[in-house]
Amino acid sequence: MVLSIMVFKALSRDQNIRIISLLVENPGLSADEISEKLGIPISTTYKSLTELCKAGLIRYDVRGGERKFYVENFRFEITPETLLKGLRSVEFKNIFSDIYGEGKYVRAVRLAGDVRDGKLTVRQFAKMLSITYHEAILLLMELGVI
Amino acid sequence: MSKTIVADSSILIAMDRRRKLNVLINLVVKRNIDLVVSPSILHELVIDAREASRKIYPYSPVLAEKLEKSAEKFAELVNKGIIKVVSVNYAKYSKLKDSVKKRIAKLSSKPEHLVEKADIDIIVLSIQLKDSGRSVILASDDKTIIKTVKNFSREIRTANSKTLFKQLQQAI
Repeated sequence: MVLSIMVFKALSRDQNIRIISLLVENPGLSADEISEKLGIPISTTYKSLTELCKAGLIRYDVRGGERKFYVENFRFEITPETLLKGLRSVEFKNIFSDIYGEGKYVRAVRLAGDVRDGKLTVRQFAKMLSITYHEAILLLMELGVI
Repeated sequence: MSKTIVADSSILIAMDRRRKLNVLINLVVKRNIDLVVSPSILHELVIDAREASRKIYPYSPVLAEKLEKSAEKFAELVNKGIIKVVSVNYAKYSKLKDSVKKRIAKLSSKPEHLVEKADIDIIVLSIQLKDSGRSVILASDDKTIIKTVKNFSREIRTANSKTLFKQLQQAI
């Protein structure tokens, strides 16, 4: 598994560890069930579940109109070198989701197509995503648009 | 005829990232070519880069440091007079400015207020310098900007970061 800042953040919260532990023993629980079993407010539970999903530590299936959560079969080997490697990443696209979230990354990839086709300027791209022009250039270069 | 490259931030940042900026700088100095940016482009190269660096630092200190160094490099090139900052004469080119804004809005299917000033400036500045008797290459990796300038002048040559050196060999 690729180590990112998001993984470290997700694993640094006590309630996230409790959620993972619960899901290891009870796979397929809904957010309401997790909230009830751990005594965590539902809003906090949703926040934790989103964070864990983004970090790739858990996933969900939709069954009967409800999300059922499962732990991904992850395995880490953390050494000082791997930790340093994560922090030394110079690929902006690898940290874009960590800064702005997965949703914005997906939107950026879609809008990048318009920049490639000459239907949107790079500055409009940056403004629509509320990112700096410099970040826009880095992302577009790494996506092969520039 | 005085030779001028009007550079967009996109091409300068891309060349810096690809370690080709020094080659470009050596070439323009050696061949006495003016490398020109507008004040809004300068802002993007220096101030915007520093802002991006601050945002990225907690996630990748190494990338943030690269951006900070890039900002310093561009500021130094301006201080040394290698990159020249030229303002747009808005009084003289106000009608052209409006037309460029409309054209970009049409190309991007966006309202005119969503057209960025720096996008307009780079096109108007190229035409302004061409009108003053210079041989101009507008260098940008932004296809919409290249498309737009071609609507307003056939005398301005265009290039992106992959074709600029070839253009410099042929055109100037």
